[in-house]
Amino acid sequence: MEQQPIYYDPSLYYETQTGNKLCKKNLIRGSDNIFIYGKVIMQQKNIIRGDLGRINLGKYLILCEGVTLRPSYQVQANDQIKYSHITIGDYVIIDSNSIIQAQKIGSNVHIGKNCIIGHRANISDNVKILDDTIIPPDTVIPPYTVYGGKPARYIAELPETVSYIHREQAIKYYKSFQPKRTSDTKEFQFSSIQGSTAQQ
Amino acid sequence: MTEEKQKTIATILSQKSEVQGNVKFGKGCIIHPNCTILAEGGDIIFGDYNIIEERVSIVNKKSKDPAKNKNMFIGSYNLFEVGSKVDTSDIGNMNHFEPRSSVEQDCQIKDKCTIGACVKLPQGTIIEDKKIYYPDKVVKELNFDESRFQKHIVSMYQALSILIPQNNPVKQI
Repeated sequence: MEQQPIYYDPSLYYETQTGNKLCKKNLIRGSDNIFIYGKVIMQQKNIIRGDLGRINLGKYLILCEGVTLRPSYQVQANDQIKYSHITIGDYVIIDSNSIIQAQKIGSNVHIGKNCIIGHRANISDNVKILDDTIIPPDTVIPPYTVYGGKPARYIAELPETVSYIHREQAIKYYKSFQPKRTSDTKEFQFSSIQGSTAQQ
Repeated sequence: MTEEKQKTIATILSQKSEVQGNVKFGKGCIIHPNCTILAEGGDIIFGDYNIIEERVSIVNKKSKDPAKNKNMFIGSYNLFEVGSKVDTSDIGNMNHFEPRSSVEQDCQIKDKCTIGACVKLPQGTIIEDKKIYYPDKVVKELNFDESRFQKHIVSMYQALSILIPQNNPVKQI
């Protein structure tokens, strides 16, 4: 099934040389601490707190509307608090209005809408998390599983080919996210033909 | 030594957040960016060492009868996590609001309670001491450690008071 193209307003977005598409209406703090590999989409109304800790983002990461990314903390032996860092792998889709305070998210992961991921959670590779789940703090989620519910429980197992499915979903979403062109329709037709030949 | 320490304790209010009306803070509060505190009906009075994270909304609404407008009191050592909502209701000390929990109008929350994630409290509920609200059930907590909870929030204030002014425009009161 072909995915319908999603158009965005090009005046609201920055496009960098490595293919990142970043909205201007985000609240991003501490941009020295945020490391982006490339080909990342950030839609509007996100909050990303780089000032609390270091954030590493992999390639083909897609953040929909209203996502909050904030690093979690660890209580040390002398009752002091130290803010740790987030690492997120490649080909990850995070759907709208979810709160993420995890420590590590692996690659080929799909996270649904309205999720809450607690402090210091550890999500490994090739995992699907359903909509409206709450993952309590300090949980470890094993690879090739489906988790859902309040609080999150084990629901099903995934086949080994799911890594290709999640990878293709992320690449398709990135390609379908296009700037809106109103006047020059000829150029748009040319680009769509080029895209179809590349897939063959 | 003690006098120098008392001077440095100040509330840190990041200027991206929206604070309107008569709002009074005690010492040692932290307000993260992008949260809303509106005092429309009456004043809002905070105690010491409250931590208010992003997307939190604390509102004192204006009612139709002017006689019903009241001041709203919030005690000390409270922790409001991301996306929680409080609407014209009094709150005691040492409470913990988990993400996206909401408290509706005219509730009373006493000391040492925790309200779990995505829990909605209906209008006019009164909660006694040391209760935990999960999405499924309600549990009474038997061994609540006061001094550990207070140490946890004070150490969180000490860490955040150094980190936040480095990258945010900040107003210290």
